[in-house]
Amino acid sequence: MSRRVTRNPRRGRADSPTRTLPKPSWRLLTELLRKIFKELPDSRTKGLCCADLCSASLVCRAWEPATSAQIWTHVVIRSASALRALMDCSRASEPRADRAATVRILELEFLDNDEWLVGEFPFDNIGENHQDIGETLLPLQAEFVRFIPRFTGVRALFVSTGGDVKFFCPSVPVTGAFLSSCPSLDVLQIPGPTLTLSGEPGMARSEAKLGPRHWGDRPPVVGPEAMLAELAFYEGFNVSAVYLLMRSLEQPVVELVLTGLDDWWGQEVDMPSFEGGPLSKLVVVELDGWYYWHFNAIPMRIRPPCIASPSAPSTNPIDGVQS
Amino acid sequence: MFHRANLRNNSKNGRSQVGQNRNSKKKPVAKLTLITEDNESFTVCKKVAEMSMFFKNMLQDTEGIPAPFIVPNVSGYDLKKIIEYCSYHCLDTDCPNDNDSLRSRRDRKIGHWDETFVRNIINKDGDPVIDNLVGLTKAAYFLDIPGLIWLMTKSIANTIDPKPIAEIREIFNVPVPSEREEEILQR
Repeated sequence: MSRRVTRNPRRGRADSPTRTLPKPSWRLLTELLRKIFKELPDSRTKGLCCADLCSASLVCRAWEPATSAQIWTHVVIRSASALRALMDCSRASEPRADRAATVRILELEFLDNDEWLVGEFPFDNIGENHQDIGETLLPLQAEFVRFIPRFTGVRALFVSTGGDVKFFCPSVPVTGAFLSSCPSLDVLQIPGPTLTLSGEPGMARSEAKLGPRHWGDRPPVVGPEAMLAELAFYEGFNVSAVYLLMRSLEQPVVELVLTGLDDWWGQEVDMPSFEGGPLSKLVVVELDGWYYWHFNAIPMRIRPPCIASPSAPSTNPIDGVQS
Repeated sequence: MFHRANLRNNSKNGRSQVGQNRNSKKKPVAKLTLITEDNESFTVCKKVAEMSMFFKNMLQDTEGIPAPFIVPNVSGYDLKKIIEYCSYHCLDTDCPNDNDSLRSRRDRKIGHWDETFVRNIINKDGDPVIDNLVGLTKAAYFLDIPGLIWLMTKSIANTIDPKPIAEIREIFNVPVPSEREEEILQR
């Protein structure tokens, strides 16, 4: 083995003969590496450049856990291929640690002209070919529903849409899977989940009606041990699905946001009973559009007083909600 | 180099020479003697030492100035730089910490004095830049000095940010992974 006398300029004196070893600069504590990677710019630069955290994770295996923790803390999915990559990557990492369990914030973004929107995930068919919820799950969507329980640490789920697809939203099975199998879920902000309307195949939307079976004796999707505190549905166009989910919550929510839905095609919706249910601990309520006219009395009756949200619609005075 | 609080490195002049704060001549300033792992001795004001949570907790526990304190895991060079940093920043109130949001941390700029401080580390005689930065980062982490940890981690991030993976490996002396390891990483 080779030996040589080295002079360490940091100490200013000659050291005794030592083995020639690579300098261990890269052997930083994982905690320190995390702090370093937190400072890296969040760029989307492609190629072999360390501007991206993904590239930093390829430097060596010792760096990978720290970068992965950073990468997987906040995940944004914008396409079906990205969703599949997320599931495949998580499964591939299983022997060491399931990456899905490290996700804290999950965002699903639906953009215009995206194949996963038009093609299959995660929408039920409305109008033509509508069926009951269990039968409308397409392969990727069904796979995702089975995968969702791996998100054991997710704290917040945000679903956003853009352009003309603002009415599309995750199906009840997808939303229900998050609610029922993610014990740390604290915030849920999604468009109102879709639910197939009852009616005959080929029936126009305006003729479809909400079936009473949707208010059936379904088990709660969120148990009392859950942490869900903020529930927000916006731009959804299926009121029954929203109410179904709200009614099936056992854990009382603190903040409730129901916005959008200016037009419900004149359909009548049976109001479910919320007494003693998920609305018993409401502190903040934000309602507008259709919800304001048909729902505003319920929170007030269940647990007065409620605080008016500053973002309440200007056309509908919110004073009535304050008792 | 400008120091807000007085500091003398005893190892250089061979005798204890404790500076006095000009504004508090009547009242003696509490001092703390620190000995590094390579037997270099430093005397610092209590106020400066308390920038380190490690020393702050120790001083609270001991309820007074203890005898010369041996600082493990910190070299003389690192402690000298740490004291230089703490002497300048001991009066600061705004200090980055882990509770800051990711965006505010990333948007935070390195100040002019800090920039010069880091550049001086880089200009250390012949040593690789990253070696000194990493050494100082470890020491700051051990002594729990949030502001210096942020400065060092930010500087290291700036050092590695615009470079390709191969160059990063060279700078940090990371052994090039085998093909199989590379494949695992890619997955």
